[in-house]
Amino acid sequence: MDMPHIVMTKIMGNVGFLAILNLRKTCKTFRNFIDDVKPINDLKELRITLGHFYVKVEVFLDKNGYDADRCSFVSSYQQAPDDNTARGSRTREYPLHILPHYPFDHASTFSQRFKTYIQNTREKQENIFFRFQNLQAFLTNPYFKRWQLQYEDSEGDDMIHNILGRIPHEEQEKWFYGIPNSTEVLCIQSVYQTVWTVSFTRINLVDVPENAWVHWE
Amino acid sequence: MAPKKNSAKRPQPSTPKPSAPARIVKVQSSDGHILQADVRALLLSSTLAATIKGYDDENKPLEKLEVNNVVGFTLKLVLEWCEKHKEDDPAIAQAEKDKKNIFIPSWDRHFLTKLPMGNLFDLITAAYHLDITGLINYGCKTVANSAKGKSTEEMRELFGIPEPWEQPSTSTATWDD
Repeated sequence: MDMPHIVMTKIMGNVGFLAILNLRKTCKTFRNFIDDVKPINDLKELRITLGHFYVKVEVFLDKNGYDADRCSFVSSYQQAPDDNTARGSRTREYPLHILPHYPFDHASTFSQRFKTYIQNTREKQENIFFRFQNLQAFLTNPYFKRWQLQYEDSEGDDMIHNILGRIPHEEQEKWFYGIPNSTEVLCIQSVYQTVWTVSFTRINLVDVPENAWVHWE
Repeated sequence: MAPKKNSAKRPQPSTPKPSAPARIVKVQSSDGHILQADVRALLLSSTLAATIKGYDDENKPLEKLEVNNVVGFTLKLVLEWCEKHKEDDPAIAQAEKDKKNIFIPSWDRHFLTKLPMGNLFDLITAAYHLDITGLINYGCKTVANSAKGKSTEEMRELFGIPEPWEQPSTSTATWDD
């Protein structure tokens, strides 16, 4: 397809997130275009729950309005009980195609910091890869507003404090990181409600509480 | 409760204006085809509107407009669309310029969906060159609608993309990344 850039962007803006993923796999021209342009899509939130033997992915699409309480569909992947050796085949079961790989030059410092965190959790190698790829995609896509990670391992909470530093106001339990060349701030929150949850949310700078510390790096 | 049709935010067509006598000019495509069109239809194209205004400002007789980047077959489709929409209020296209949820009227839906995909792409590209906002919007939305819900294989077929092994320097092993 030899179409003007603006026209292609307009088409991509109308096809929806799932169709973009399929379109991206048709040929390298589409793949490069989608990776470069990062078209606006209807994906609003992705919730990933990782257990020791399963991964659950909840996908929230903006269909006639975004509803944070109603996900569009869920993909669950569970290790077969007798599957102790087939690591390769198990890896293929993970929905790595859910998020494309985006170049992440400007977010590399931040994602490298979290790579340490992710690698230090007692997870299987496939899970670590899966989590890291999704974090990179979130950090580099301004249309992706929220990324949430849940884990059952209680050591995670100590680790995230070590990486992000102590919070000046303990009751706040949120970290704020300025995003270069943007009016948005990355808000990271760690909470425990039956499982540990770390959420990454893009918010406007004006919505940061007055006394909060914002890291700029 | 029966669902209500939500038309509150959609721009309503203006009441038809009393029609002025048609001013017909010739339009020549890049491959030499000469077609005739009403000037009011051509004014939907910002590019042609500027050219026509240039003629009018200088009081030069406008006999033939040359469109150098659109072939005859596609130009005929463009003029057909413009002829249908020449009475439209320009505010409608302007209001939908950057709107995400574009509503395609039934005539346009029928007109665009009956075209083979290759012709539709040519039409959208021509609309882009001639800067016809409404046609670009409806064309892009039609292409997007035809891609929705299709698998990768179906999309290759729809857009005429060769199979992976037929594409140059292909490494399909990493395509699922």
